[in-house]
Amino acid sequence: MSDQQVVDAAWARPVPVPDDVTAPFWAAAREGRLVVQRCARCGTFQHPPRARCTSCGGEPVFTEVSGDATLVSWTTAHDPVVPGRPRGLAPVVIVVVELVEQPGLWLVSDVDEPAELRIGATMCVALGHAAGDQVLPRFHPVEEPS
Amino acid sequence: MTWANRCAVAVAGVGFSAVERRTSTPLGRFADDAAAAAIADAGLTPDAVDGLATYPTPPFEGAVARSGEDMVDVEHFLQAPWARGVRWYSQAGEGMITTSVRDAVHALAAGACSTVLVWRAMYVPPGTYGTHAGTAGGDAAFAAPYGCAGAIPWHALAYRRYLELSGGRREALGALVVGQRRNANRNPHAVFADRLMTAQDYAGARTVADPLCLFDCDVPVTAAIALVLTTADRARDLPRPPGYVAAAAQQTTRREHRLHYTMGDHVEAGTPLVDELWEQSGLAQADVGTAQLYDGFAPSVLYWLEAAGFCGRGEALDFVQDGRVAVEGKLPVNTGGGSLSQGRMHGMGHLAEAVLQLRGDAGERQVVDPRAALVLVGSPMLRGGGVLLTSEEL
Repeated sequence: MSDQQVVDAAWARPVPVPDDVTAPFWAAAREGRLVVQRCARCGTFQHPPRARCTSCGGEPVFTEVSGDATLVSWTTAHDPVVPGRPRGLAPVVIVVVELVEQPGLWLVSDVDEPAELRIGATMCVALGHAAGDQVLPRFHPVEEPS
Repeated sequence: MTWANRCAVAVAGVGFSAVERRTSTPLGRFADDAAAAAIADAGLTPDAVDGLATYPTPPFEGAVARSGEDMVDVEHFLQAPWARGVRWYSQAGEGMITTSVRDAVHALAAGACSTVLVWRAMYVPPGTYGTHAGTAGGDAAFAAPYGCAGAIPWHALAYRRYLELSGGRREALGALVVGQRRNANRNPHAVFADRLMTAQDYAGARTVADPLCLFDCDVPVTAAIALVLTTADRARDLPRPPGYVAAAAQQTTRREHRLHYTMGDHVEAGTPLVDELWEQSGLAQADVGTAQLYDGFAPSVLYWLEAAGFCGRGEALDFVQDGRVAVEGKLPVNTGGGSLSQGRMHGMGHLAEAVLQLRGDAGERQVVDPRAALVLVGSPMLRGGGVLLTSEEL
């Protein structure tokens, strides 16, 4: 697990429970790597993980990706209905990002600051946020050179 | 090619229970009331019912799902004293109530039974939603830890992208939502029959997950609605004008993503479903006198309008302005108030309203001679479905 681990003070996030299909994703996250399933036959990425490639039926293999992405959408959710989350906390800014590796390869994250967000904004992953005994890959906006 | 079962079956009766928010009365009593009302409306006695069909799933996680208490399944009516003659039933696990209607049409057309009771009963649980354990397995592990759980953020994320790409403003959707409340104010079966809403109310509504506000979310109710379906031959001899099932189709496109919704899930997935309804019935957009469009969240109406081809992509927010979707408008939409203002009946309210409109029984909110009523249920990728009803046999 990373040395710069962040733990939420106010909110105990639901802890991911790995299973036979998803375990490699969470194991890699604990090692500071973002991995996504990629089909050994057709090369298509897919997320979340599945037992088979949904494009060709081939064998998906977890593959490290760059962690570079662009912003697809976002919402500021007030009191989201999340297991175990008490009401009345600060809103959560939920985002969807598209990894640069493949159009439509989307992951969910949340961001710390409700900064000015726009579709296509450059985002980057960070792996240092703990949820229980797991590490959450989280994406944040990247300052673009002016 | 037109459907082999086109207008072979008709809705012969409609029945409503009382509509409540939270109540200690078991949900089965609401379903019994709706069933009795629908059977009487059809001019029949309960022993005429020999088929049962529902989609019983409770609309919230953590449901206990006790038959007749917080869920009304086939078992509830098989236990009814009048149900000894039942010889066919269907309980859908996927899809919504339109799936049950389609199943009933197939059974009736095949001669498996002669009179089918179709119902949907909905329940508001005590407490607040989502108060279960603090872990997330399966797909939820990739979303819930980020605050993305349940339908609200799924819809909010799609709607944000829709507004950004179409250049729309969230306040503009008030034209639809306030209009639907006005319709509910003319519908005695609506939970908000007596509660008014102004454009200012809508503009100032509490944000739930922007751009969604409170009034963009449907209102949970405890209630039941039932329909009686029978063959067209029998329906013609019954007291009410038949509402013929001219087409019935099911959404089967696979979901584009599994952690939330995309615009592709909504619009592109809805189009093949509606196209199948046109093909089955031989009708087209211009033939539709009223559209009852699923509105668990208000933006879904925009997506359905675009998926069904009533307007172009990104144009629906303009389409719902200027009274175009009002009862008196070019395409009256959700004339009973919809899920937003009649109450969350997961599409059964939309079906019942379509039948009342075709029969001319919609009172102060009656559309002039609608002839064909299009019912599109589900946020498309929630395994939705569609039914096209007509007042004349095609």
